Amino acid sequence: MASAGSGDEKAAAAAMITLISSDNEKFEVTEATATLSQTIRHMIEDGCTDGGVPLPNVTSKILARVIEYCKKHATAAAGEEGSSSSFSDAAFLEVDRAFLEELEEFDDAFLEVDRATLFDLILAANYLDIKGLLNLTCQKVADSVKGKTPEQIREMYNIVNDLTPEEEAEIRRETQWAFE
Amino acid sequence: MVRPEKRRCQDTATAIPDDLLLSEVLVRLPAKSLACCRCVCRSWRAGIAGAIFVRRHLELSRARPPSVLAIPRVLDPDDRATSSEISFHRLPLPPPGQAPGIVHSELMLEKAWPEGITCLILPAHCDGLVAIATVSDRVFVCNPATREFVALPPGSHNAELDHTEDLVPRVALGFDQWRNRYVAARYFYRTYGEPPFVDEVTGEYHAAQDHDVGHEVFTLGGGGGGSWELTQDPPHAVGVQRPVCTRRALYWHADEPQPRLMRFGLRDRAFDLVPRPPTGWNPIDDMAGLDDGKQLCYVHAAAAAAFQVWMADDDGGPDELQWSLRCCIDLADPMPRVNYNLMPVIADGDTLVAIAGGTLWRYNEGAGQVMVELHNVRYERQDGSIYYLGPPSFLSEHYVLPYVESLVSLA
Repeated sequence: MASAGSGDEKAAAAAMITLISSDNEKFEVTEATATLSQTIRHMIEDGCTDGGVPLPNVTSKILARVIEYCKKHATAAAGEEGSSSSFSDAAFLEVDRAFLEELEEFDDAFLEVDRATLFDLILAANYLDIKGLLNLTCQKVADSVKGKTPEQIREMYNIVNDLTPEEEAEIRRETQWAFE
Repeated sequence: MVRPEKRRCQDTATAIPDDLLLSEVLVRLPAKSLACCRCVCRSWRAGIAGAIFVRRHLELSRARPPSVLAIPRVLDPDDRATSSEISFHRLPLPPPGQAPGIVHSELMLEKAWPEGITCLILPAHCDGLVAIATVSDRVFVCNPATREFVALPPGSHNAELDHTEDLVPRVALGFDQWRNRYVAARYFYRTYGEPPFVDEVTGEYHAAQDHDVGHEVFTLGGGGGGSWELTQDPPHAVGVQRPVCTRRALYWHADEPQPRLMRFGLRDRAFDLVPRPPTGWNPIDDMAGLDDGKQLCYVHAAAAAAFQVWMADDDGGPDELQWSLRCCIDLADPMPRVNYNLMPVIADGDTLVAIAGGTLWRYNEGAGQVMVELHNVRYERQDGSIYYLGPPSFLSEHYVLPYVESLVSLA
């Protein structure tokens, strides 16, 4: 993982960025991969990436996964741009569809993690401002809440119910249909 | 009481802060799940009711594949007949290119209203809210997702209804971004002097000696004192076309003595006249607000089953409407009926979904003049009765609206 992007043919032209995790592990990635993060994009624009980008909120374990996501999605984005001019419409649509399907499979597999990792990914995606990753991970958590009773949700998230029994009864009365 | 604290420490090294959980996770849930989430704890209850949450939830709903809302009504030969219930059904649109088959709808709300709602209605839509105009001139507003359903207080007397049996005075529904409130708008006629009468000898109808048109708005969610507020009068008599709301204004069409388009600006709450598309006028022309109210659409029925679709941008940009002809649609196989209108429901990229002759059609601009009919939309009521979306008849009519799920409260 530490030499991420070294096999890239365009490496000579592509600027490399070093990301440093909270536990001090260094990850070298292409600028195209790194700039999926708006936070890093702004740092690059401000010219403050020399000597590496310290990410004190992200562990090496999580950063490795985030980079995996960004590399895949940066490739897909580059592929789309490249193909739009060189293929006929029909061929382009075909390539496009294959890309999307592959990406979807990647995303599904990517989400096969335990809940603690999923939460860490959300925090990292939020901190690094990676919209696609934030959407993906948050939707996964939202889907796990769907259809659950309040009791089950509290259990899942270790939330202490601070509503009085009267308040809770009132909410249930207001939206009784949702509890049927 | 110690246990939860202890478990929190062991179980989740990481917890998502409440603000992130609300603004990014819970906001992706459907209304029904959110009703349960309100019961979880105080901070969730407060967060879900917040204006920012409601806005963001709506934005995400809009980004999902479009759907339509159908309101089936069983009609009665008596135009003033009422029904003690009304139901709302959501139809997911099948993906383009899918072979026509049976589309199953989802019953969202079946509402009993013992006082009765006239069978004849005309609905309007804005951000998941539905306003329902009735023959009795009573206006109802509903959010099918949160199951709120209210009857607005009666507005000013509409003298037009004193001598018309089957008239449904149209209602407009829109969002006033300047006051951050949803508003319903209605028009009404006042008469002066001698009341209108029908000459018993000649059968000739004599209109009132003098009449004019008034206009009033009702602010939902408080802010308007819970009653209709009179506005400036429209400059001309309101015609039969459906009023439409965009991001900036409500549009009412005037037919006589010549077609005109009247704009009621939501910011300054005043009327002015704006250009119509450079085309003729037909009583079955229709208007629609598309692309979340960014576009105003005018459909001119140029010939039997041939329509011109005109669009004007109405989201920022110049104050003056710039009309352009988006497409001409010939329904390939017009049904043997004299006249029917084409009512655009959704514009999604180069696809236009419209209802015509009681059937949903999908027009794809990219693929040329292709209209795909969406067959056999099936919907079921609580009592098990089943309906199919089909051509309107003397017995039933299905009103179809664009639909987006929202949490906007009517209270």
